[in-house]
Amino acid sequence: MINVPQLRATLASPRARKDWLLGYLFASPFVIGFCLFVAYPMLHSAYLVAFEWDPLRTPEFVGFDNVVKLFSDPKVNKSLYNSFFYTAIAVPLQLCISFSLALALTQPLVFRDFYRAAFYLPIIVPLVASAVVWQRVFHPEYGILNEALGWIGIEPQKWLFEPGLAKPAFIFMSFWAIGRQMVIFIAGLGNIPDSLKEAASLDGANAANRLWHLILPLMTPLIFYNMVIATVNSFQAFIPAMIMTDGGPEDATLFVVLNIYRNAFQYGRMGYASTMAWELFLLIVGFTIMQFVVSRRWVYYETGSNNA
Amino acid sequence: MQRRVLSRRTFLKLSGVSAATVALAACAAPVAAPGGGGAAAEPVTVNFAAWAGNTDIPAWEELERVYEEQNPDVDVVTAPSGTGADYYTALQTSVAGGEPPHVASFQGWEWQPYADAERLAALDDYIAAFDFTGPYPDDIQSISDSTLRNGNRYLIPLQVGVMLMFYARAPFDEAGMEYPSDDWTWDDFVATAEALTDTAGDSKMYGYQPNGIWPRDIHWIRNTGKQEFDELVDPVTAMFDQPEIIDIVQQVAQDFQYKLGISPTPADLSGGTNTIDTGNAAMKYEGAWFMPNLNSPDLREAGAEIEFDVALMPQVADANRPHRGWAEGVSVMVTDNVDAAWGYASFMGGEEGQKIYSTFTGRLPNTAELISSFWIPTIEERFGVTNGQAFVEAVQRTEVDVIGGVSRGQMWNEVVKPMGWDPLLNNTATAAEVLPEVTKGVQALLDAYWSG
Repeated sequence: MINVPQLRATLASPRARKDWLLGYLFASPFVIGFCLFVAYPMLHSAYLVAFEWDPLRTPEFVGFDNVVKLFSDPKVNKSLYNSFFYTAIAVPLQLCISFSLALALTQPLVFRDFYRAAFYLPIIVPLVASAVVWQRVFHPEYGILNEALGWIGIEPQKWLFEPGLAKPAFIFMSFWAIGRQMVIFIAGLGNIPDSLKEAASLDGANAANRLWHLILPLMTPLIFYNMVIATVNSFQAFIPAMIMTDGGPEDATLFVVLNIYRNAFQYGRMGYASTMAWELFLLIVGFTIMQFVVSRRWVYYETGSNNA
Repeated sequence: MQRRVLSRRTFLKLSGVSAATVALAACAAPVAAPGGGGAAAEPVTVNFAAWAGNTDIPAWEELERVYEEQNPDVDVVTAPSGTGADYYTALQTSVAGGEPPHVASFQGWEWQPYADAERLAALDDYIAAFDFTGPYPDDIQSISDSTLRNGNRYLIPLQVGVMLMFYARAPFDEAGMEYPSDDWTWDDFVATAEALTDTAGDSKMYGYQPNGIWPRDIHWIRNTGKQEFDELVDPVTAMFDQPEIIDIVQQVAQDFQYKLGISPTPADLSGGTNTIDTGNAAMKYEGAWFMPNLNSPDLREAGAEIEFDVALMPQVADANRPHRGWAEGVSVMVTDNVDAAWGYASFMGGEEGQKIYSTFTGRLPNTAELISSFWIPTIEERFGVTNGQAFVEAVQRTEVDVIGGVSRGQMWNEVVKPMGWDPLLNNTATAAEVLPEVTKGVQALLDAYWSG
């Protein structure tokens, strides 16, 4: 961090001042965009927490009413439960599957590049289109999932129509988009020096030992990174619930962001929706901080102090 | 002459300044402010936020073209803005952003909050000045309820909404059964649906395709002679838990699917399967806008038509046989250009505009005279409907769903769907179990509204 005397010294010459200004000029498109489209809306939504605002009318000051209401609203509790359930189950499974795929796709397979591309491909499909496709996959009568389950003797399920099955179906669907995590893991696996693996082999470590004692510790920073990003994304699940189930059946897929959207844009409660949005923001921040704290116990960094 | 060399630094500097300038220019407010304040030679702009149904969009385009041809000084800018909740989200956002359109599409039960918030212009003076009384018959309560609020008129109807029983001819022909007639009863209907149902083979046929939502089951509820609210306009008390309502809802939202098997379940209907459009259901409760989905010149040319006709809904307990009805159309928003907005809105609601709109969409025009003289002959020719008179008869019996500060959509999303229709349609609870809870939930919304 630069202090004021240092800054004065840095800007002593006209050329330095010019460079300093130019730097900010080049950064200005981002800074302006960030201020207009991220910072200002965030601050404004914080201001709205204290107001009830039907967008057709003038905002009305209500103090802490929105916050108080938040804690007794069964819809809020239900949506939080749904989002936590989805995140708690989906994220670990996504990490396991993407890591396993990355391990497989760093082996000398025939058509390896094709597989890598194929697993990444769903990332570039728009979420809305994916949701429509998955609606077909989950179709109780004609869906490919029930067809496949039928081959092993499992009865057709009404995936998106039974409250107990809708969230598991969404979790299953989330595996469709693990390509990004997989690519990051592949990059990380490629950076592990062969010399380390050879040394472990010479010391008598078999494949399982090498995975557990060498590869996994070295990959923990990337596992942690993917976990944080996946957690944030899972808490923000919205489009599939909006398109495929509209929050149903019986609110089983009413995730927090869908509840926020409905309150803001369908029920005309901008202030209350802003309160919910800040609640979600604080929960995600809290959860992320907790992950960082816990990470000191299990994430191994090669450089600097490590707490592994 | 000395050649000036553009240094890399200068080039980058200029690029940065240009990029920032372009970015700021892109953020500038639109300059085409409506109103007569501009130069005399400039056309007046009328921005129209339009309902964007598949058949509506070409109708809007044609209306815009014809009106601009007749009024060269007016520039109509039509913005198709989605349908359903998406449409109202877009509209509300434009209002909140301080850029409301001059004219906006509205369903008859959705504009009232905008009027209450003084966002809509009262049209009574214009209606009187231009003798525009045709779309406002005194004897049809649903039209009055859909267009009036606190004594002022806010909606120009572009169509009269009413729904009837649509039936595909083929299943009846194959079963050797007579088509439904306008004097049929609930028992006739159920017996017909049972006789037509055959779901044993690969190609299923259901007697009746349900809509699976409370708003479209309101018809059945009202035909018990009861209603879910003390008043249909600005209700104060919810009354879903009356025995007659519990009984009829139990039948149409659960027994039809799981006990009698005459209707497909939501799972069966998922992805657009097992419907009347796919030839797998014999009857469905629908409106005039649905006709092009079944039979039209284009579908006939492709050999993909489903020949159909319509009948009044069967009589249940109420001898008056009320049908759900409303007006849908456009409202003029409060802007600095109400005169020009009225000009275009009233053109769409006038005879010429109505003929264009009705021709493109198949929807019922807004006067009884146009329905009889223009619409009924065209639907026979275009869609093969021979009982168009049933629509006229149904319009006379119409009543609205529910109109007020708590919208039907909010009641549905927050309470009626998750607590009522979802468990019923999933066969996890009965109407007797869920409707008392629905009553409590809707009452809580009403109480919150009235106490606010």
